[in-house]
Amino acid sequence: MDDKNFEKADRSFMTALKGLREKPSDGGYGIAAEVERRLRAGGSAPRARRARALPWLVPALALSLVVAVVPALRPVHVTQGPVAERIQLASRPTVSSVDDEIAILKEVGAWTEDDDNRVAPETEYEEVELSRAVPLTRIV
Amino acid sequence: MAGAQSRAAAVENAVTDEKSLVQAARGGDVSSFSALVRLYAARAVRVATSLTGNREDGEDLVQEAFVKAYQNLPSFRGTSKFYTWFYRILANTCHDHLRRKKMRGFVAFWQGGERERESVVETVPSAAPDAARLLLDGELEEKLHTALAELPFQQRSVFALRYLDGLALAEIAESLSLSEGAVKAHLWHAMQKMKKYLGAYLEKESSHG
Repeated sequence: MDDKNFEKADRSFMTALKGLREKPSDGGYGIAAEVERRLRAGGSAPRARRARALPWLVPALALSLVVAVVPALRPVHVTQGPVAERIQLASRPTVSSVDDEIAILKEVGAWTEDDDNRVAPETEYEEVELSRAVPLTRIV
Repeated sequence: MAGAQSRAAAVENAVTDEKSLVQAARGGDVSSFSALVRLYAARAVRVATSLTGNREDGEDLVQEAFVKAYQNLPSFRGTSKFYTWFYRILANTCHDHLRRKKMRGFVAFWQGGERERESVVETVPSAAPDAARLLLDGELEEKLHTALAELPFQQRSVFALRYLDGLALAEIAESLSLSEGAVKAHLWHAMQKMKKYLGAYLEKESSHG
């Protein structure tokens, strides 16, 4: 688009639509009367620019957004299910494995009777606790 | 020379009248505002009808725009002419109306309704060999509005303000908050598209001119 082409086309449209542009219209008085009626009926007066009040929909939408987003942002708590519990129990030392280890230590001379006496009360306590889950025959 | 002077004096008087009417309306004088409406209503209806493609909608929207203009008169600083300021309100009002109408059209479509308006491509021929006759029986205006409806809103607005209302490029720029360069670019694109529909009529007018 250069200025010469623009001006030529512009002139052409201005000429072609002159008839429509200058066509007499009778709408002015009717519209003026209706606008005046609306202004007087509505009691509208020129008013200073002011912030538009928020429509009632805005708080409703905000609330629904919060309801939708908050659960998604909350950290996920992994509950320990039966499987995890079984894995934890399986990794705990049993009475038999402790006995085996002590026996090996005794063979190499690293475990003495003093050591037996020192851990005896605790061992007894553990045996009592474990007796709930371990068959009696294995403890004996 | 004397004619030019009297015309200049008449324009000056009109501007003074407009300013005094705006001033009085700003103070709450509805009659003064009504006088302003009478001055510009016919032109405004022509523009609104071009933007919406419908005379009744155009008249309703002009009324609505004038009511909005009255309520917002305090924000009119008076640095521009009243009608360039008012045309911005009118263009926004028409734009909002068309958006609502489009939305209703979508809803109607999804509810199994039919489109309100056929595509202009199907209804308007690519050339108008008998455009002069169409003007004579008043159909050219209707065809023009149908073709305008195919333009993007910004192009339609500058086209209507320029060729159906006769505003200067600077006034259009002020009304639509655009630069003059942007107005020219929009007009250029609009003219290229409108040539397709009004080509034969334009040629005829040029040969007469």
